[in-house]
Amino acid sequence: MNDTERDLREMFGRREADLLGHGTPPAAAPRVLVRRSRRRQLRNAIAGGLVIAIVVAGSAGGALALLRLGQQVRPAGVGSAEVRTSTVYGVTIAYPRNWSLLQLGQDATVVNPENSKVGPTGAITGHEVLQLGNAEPSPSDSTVCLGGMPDGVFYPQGSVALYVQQLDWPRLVGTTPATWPVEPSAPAPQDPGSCDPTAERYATWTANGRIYEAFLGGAPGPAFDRLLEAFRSMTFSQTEPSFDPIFVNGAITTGPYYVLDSDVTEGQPWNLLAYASSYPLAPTRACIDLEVAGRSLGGQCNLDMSLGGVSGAEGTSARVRFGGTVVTYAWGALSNDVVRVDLQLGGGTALGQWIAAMPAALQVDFRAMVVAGSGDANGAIVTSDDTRQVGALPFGLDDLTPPIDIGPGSSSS
Amino acid sequence: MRATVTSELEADAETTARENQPPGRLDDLFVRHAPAATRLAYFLTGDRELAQDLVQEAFVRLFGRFRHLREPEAFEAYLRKTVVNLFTTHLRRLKLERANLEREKRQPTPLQHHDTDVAVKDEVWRALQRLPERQRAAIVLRYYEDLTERDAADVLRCSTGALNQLVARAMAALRDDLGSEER
Repeated sequence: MNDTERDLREMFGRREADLLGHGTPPAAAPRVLVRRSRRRQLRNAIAGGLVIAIVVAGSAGGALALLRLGQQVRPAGVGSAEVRTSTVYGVTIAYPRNWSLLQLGQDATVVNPENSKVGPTGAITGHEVLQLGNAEPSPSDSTVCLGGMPDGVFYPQGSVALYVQQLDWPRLVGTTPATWPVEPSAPAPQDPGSCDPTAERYATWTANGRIYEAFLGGAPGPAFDRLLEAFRSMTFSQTEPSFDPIFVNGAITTGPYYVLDSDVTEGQPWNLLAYASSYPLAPTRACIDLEVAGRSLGGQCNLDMSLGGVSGAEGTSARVRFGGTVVTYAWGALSNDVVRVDLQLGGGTALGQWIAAMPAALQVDFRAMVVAGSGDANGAIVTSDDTRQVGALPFGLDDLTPPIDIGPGSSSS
Repeated sequence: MRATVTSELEADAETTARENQPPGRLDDLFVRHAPAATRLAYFLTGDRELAQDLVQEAFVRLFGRFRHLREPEAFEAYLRKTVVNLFTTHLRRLKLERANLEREKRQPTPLQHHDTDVAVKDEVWRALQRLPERQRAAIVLRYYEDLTERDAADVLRCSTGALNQLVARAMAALRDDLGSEER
């Protein structure tokens, strides 16, 4: 140890003693944090001009909202014949359209205890990738037996669920994970999360030089067979994770991140995502994001919605360029009375419009939408109810707004 | 047309409801980890109140996230990483907020108000505070937190090589600084 190191350590010691001599250890903190969270939430909301406080009371509106929420809940089931294909962090999976897919996006921190005989000890880093279930997860229902599920995310009894994560090391000592495709099997005693072998399968594999592992939970039956089909459908590419949800516009996002819809437009896959954004213990808001080729357009929670209804449609736009193709996307919230969305363009080509239900857990009173047009796409998004036009939003961006480059050589984070 | 209300009344009701929940991990985690995190933040920022702000900010951010941790034992590492990350990337904003608050209060700055004579006279301390933020963080993580090179590099989101460079530059700067003060 040299003199400077010694000086530093002595200084740290003196200062620490000085600090310990001042004040008393906290007995509790939540009230301080609550007040601070609320103050910040309110300040941010006011400063950003994001909240217009309108007092609306009425039991009829509340009842209607409850009715709509009730209609949005997706019950557990075997799954519709209609299949949706989504790509999350380079993992592409096909699953019944009425199932619930979550893009996870958190670090997959696993603490391996010092006495573990499996792998290196200490904090193991990796990346949670996705969660798929035949019911929407909630924080209150009984969990199926899934040791690999992140804390706090549960599925109703009788449901089936798949959890996939990428880790930096193989869990099984002396075992190199097989190359994909693999079949999940009943977990061995040394496998993580084995709690009921009859209700859980585990698999680990290598794909594109990455190590993945998956847990499949639920009782044997048609729904579990359908889950196995979804598991087997997975393919893997080298897309880098683009989600780092911890710092977002001075707020935080609180997952899970619901994949509302996915499609491929002009050869590029996209996901429409919804999730909560708030300071804890303060009123929650809902974010709607559009990711194209794994890249969040406009940044995370660029579109931050209050939970109440919208009038017609509200949204935001971005233009992306890949190769020689330019596509303009608009995405946002849609009031529940809208049954049709039309993209009316003066030039360019309308590529499609999509309407998706919001997850019941977010308790919002609207749905989400995406529209896309290529070329010199400028015009209007026209919304209609059963009989008439109810609103219109301008569509397109001025020439001064540069497109976001997507594709080989462009950053995905 | 319907709209939501973000009123004080609703916020109070929500707060009350949450506070009435069974004893939560929130209290436990704060009591267990806040003092050490505050000391770390203090060595990084050189300002007690700013350190408290920074730690509160870190807790506020982590409370929405820690429920995803599969092992609560990882909280300490996450908290440390968040404190350092806030320090290196968000310190400017926090300083600005504090400056605004101070202007409103028309009070002396916390550093002048709280620091002891012993602290003010501490040349090593002042030299540390003059280091660039990432170098200072590297020194604090290695010599106060006693983290391994790998763990400190992980907190700073850099390679161990980059961490060693940060530490080497910081030590050289400290030696120069302390040497010139002695002269």
